[in-house]
Amino acid sequence: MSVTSSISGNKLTINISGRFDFSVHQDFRAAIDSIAENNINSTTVDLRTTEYIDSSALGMLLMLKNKMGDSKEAVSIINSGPDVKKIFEIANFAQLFDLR
Amino acid sequence: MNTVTAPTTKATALVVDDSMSQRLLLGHMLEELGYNVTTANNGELALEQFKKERPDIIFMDIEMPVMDGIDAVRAMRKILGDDFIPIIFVTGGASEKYLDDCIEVGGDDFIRKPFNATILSAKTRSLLRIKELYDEQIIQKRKIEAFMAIEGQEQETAAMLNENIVKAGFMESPNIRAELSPMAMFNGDILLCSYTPANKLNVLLGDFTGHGITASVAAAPASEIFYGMTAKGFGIREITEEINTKLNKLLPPNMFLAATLVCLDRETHNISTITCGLPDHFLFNKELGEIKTLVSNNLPLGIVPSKDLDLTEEHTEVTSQHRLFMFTDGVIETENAAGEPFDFDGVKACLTTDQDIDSFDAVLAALEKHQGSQGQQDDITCVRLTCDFDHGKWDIHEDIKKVVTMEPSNWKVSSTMDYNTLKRLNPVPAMVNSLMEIQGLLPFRESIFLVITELFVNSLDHGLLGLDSSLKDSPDGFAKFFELKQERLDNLTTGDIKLIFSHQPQEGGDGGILTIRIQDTGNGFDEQAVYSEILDNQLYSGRGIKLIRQLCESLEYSDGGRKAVAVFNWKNEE
Repeated sequence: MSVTSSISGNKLTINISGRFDFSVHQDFRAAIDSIAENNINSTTVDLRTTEYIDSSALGMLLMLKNKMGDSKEAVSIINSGPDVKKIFEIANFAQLFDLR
Repeated sequence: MNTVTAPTTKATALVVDDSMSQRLLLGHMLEELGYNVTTANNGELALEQFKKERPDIIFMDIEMPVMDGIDAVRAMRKILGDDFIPIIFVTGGASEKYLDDCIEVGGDDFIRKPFNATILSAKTRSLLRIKELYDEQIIQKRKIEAFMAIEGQEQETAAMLNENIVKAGFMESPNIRAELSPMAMFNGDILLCSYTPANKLNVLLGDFTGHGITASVAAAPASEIFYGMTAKGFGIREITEEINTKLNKLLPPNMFLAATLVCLDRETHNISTITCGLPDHFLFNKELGEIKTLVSNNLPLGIVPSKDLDLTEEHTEVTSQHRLFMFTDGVIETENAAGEPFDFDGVKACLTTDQDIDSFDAVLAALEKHQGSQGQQDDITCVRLTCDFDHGKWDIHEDIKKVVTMEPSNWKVSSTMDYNTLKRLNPVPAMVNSLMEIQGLLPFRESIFLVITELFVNSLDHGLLGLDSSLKDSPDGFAKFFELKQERLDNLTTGDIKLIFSHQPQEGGDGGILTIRIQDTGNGFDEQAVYSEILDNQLYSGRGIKLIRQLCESLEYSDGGRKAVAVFNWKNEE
């Protein structure tokens, strides 16, 4: 279970491997803490190695969105597996995020 | 009694020995090393001194008159309990045979005569350091214990308060069967259930993000809104929007409520649902075995402002054979020993047309079997809503038989709703409430509510929106009708509906006459056509114009259906 992040220019990329749930919330917070100071205008959350997400993960993504502002394109969530996709579908998160 | 002392700059050593020379020698060496020294010449005196003033470290001889070192240490350890004072036994010569006993009663170390200053210094310092660490630990442990005791009490009180608020308006309904199993004292899941004045059954199943106290703080405002608005006759769309507005203001960005709101209407045999982020629900026809899956169409509540929440409402016609099965995600995600989730297939497999098997029991049994010895992993709530219109508490509001206390008087109010207002809200509950406030017509609330609702719905549907009620005759008539209604309402760019209420006392009697006038700017409609259609269709014969005629003294339509006047007479029951 781990959160890794990298910044290139104004773009932030976050990778979450293993379970994306409450246990990673401090690491996730730390990763999105620097958004303002680095003038980040686009964030990509890569879920290629994420096995599972729960509602607190949805909460963390909302926190991220809140930091990034209103634009739907500001946060992209990529490489979701079928189980993770289902969770996003139930929550209708396509209305809020750029899901790819 | 707290005997743990903060580390002082100068620690005190208690030296116990029956030989004065040994006491002086060891005492002197310890003083040289920078410690305060007190002494005692046998175990009993040492124990007394120990009780009066706790030393930081004890040097104990073994063989002494009156009480030996072993007995003294045993007594000291008993008094100390959880607290720790290092005790070093002083050994030499014949006393070596007692070493096992020394350890047994709680000695920490030994020092041999004759004393070596370096070894003495090292042992004393290391044991005092251990004591210091131990003391810090125990102080923290006690703080945590005290905190937890308070916390536990507060949680209990808060849980009780929360339960009272959430349960305050809960109306037990035989149509609802629910299984709620909280993981903690607080539950992130809520189930609310109540009847509107028009005897529609409103239900809310919700799941807050997370568990425990943070997950349930917002349950109170959500349930107050639900019960308050249901009692006033608002529809589930308005209730959903109101709860969303409240939660959006109240909750931090990472918290939300996944919920489904359901309205079961006996008059139309319709079930309406608004699904916001809960896993699939199943509408199951027990007779035919058909399963309709209701998927979540909307965002969970509390995330975006209500103006950005484009709620989709689903309508389905049901019979008494229909059961709606609803679950929170804990059910779907419950894992078996191999880590596989229970999933939707696990639920569906339990839905059976066998009239001898209760599908709800079957789901619960399968779920328990699936989780096995794993135990419960999340808040789990299962709800079954039976669409039984023949039994249950459908006429619950007829119990209100309070007598109007205010003298019947003369008054008149009117209000006009333009197309923009009509798009956004159903004005009937608010208007009925204001009539209740003015004249206190509570015993007749139900009838007045129905009359105004029917008049209003006719004006809106057939007048302003030009909908043909024969639509309702087709197989999924009501669903189509509602769909078309929503579409036309969204595209409405002109028009209004005006309602005028006037009231006067009955001549020479204890009661009053409420006259309700309604007019709209639509193209009018043939009230006779609407009326006879309703007469032809037995299923809906309780509705519409016929219903108004039954409840009112008179009903007159004019101006091609654009105007109507209904007269409602009331009298206090003795």
